[in-house]
Amino acid sequence: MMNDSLMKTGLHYFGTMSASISHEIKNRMAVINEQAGLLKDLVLLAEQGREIDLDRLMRLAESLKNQVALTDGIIKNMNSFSHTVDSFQRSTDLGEVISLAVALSKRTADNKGVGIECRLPESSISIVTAPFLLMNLVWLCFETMMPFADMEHPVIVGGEKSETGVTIMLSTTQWPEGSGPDLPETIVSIAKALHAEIIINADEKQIRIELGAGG
Amino acid sequence: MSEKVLLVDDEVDFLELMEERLVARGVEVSTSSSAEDALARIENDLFDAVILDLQMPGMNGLEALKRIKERSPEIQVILLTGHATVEKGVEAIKLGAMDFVEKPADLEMLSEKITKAHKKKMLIVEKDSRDRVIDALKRYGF
Repeated sequence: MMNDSLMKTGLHYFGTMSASISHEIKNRMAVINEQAGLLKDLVLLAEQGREIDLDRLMRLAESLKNQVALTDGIIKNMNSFSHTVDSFQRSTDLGEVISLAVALSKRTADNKGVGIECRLPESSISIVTAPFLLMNLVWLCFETMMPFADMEHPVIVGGEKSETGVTIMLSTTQWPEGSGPDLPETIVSIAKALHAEIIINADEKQIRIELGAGG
Repeated sequence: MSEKVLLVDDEVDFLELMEERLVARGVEVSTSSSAEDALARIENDLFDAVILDLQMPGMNGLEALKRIKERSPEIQVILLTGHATVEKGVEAIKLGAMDFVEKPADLEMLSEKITKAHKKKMLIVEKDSRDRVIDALKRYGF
């Protein structure tokens, strides 16, 4: 069960990501709207005797398909994200959690001029965890690192098996002077709820989320 | 004289489509995929209107609006946004935006706003040059 503070943090994360997703969908719709408008323009011109440029129509159809595929990807991510709250804890794939967390963070990161990339584990790593809380934790760690990263020096999010479970690493080549960024209380609380340990590795310029085998 | 417009959006597909459709309507169009690039273009060219996306990587639309108005107060700025909230709209108008339009926008409606922007800019420019002539006449004792 989540306490009030975790609920509040989680709700804030859910709201931030939902707003970002809706913006992405709106942007796709704006492009599709212009494509439909252009089709209408071409029909009106043809009605006035101008020859129809079939190559232009074909390019337009391809680009329309591409926009639909992009929108489909955004909606699939939205659906997966919504299902992370279906059950508090469940078995899930570490790579899927990381790639979803990164995909959802990308737009916010872009708007702040920060790059985010994921390095997925080569093979599937199954973990039992609370996926929503884990994604929230990855997001908060990313937010903590954002001031030290930019497009040329993105935050890299990776995952690997460890001796006791799994590790998620967030790293950037730029790192604050000294031991590293200060961790906000929200990170500590979520880590505690996940029975995870947060390690700042200044040498590797990393924040490491160490999860036990059972999450 | 045709309207001269600068379209600013980080979504290149959207820029290209809008450009093609506005050009077909007789509008002279330039495009920028970032606010920074748009500001550089405004330094070197004259526009009646700037159609500006509110949320872009790097400098956002409101910051760009502020800088455009500081540099060239006569340019009419129409902001485009995914979600037009009252708060954002009020902020934009306070900063000098001519209008605030939600995406997906209707191009015919946008074209009307561009025509309106062109007329508004012409009035400002005419008033400005009339004021300058009156000033000069006063200085020389007429």
